[in-house]
Amino acid sequence: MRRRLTDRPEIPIAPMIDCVFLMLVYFMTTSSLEKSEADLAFPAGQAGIPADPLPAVDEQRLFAQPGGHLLWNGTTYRLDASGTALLEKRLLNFRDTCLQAGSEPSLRIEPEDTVSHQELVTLLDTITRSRIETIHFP
Amino acid sequence: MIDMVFLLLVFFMTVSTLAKDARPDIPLPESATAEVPEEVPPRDIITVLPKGGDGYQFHWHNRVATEAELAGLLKEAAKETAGQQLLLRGPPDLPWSAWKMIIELCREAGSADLVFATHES
Repeated sequence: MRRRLTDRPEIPIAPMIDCVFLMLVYFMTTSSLEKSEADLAFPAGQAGIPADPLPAVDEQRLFAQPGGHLLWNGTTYRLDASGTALLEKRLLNFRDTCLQAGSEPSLRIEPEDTVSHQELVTLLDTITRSRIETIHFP
Repeated sequence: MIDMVFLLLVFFMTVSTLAKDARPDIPLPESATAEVPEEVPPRDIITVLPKGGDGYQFHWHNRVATEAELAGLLKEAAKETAGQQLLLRGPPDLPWSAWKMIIELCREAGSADLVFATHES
């Protein structure tokens, strides 16, 4: 018997669709859309290692207090949008003054024990934006 | 419909990570200046979680460690992989006293390249 010309070979796609559905369900149930973690570098310092040669450093002390407050040079700043904007502006002034005088601007951050990690990160953000690169922790 | 299913399949296959991360899943503080590194260098990971009262629970990668064990692990790591970066992870409400303790241990061990883990805000 001759095969009819209209009979074309067919690929069965039903098992493939089954597999694809199975994989889809697997990936939908096992995957979680997590936010990527970002890095915020800060210096830890090493005790007993002197910097040589010693640069001319102008150091200021910043006292971080719980409740989102920062004490610097007799002024208290709130670590909210307007407070950090003002702090950033003054830190930039401090940096420019130091650079004009030929010294290196440096900050020593002294947080109280109960200052939260988020408050500290907000402070580090403000310092990063003010382009002061030398900071120390006690 | 098959097109849609394929599209979804490709999406989930590309966004999902099959390797289990060696770190506990915790909330992180938000940072406006932190950046997601394009290439993550080999580094050790310390996660600190508040434990009832004034105590803290430390994780070295995915392993729970006491403060004394952590000090030993840091010294060991500093000997084996000197200069390697250390990623510090903690929730937004973690008090500074916990980091003070960790930073002191890092100084004693000689680790100076420290990085806080955050989320981009």
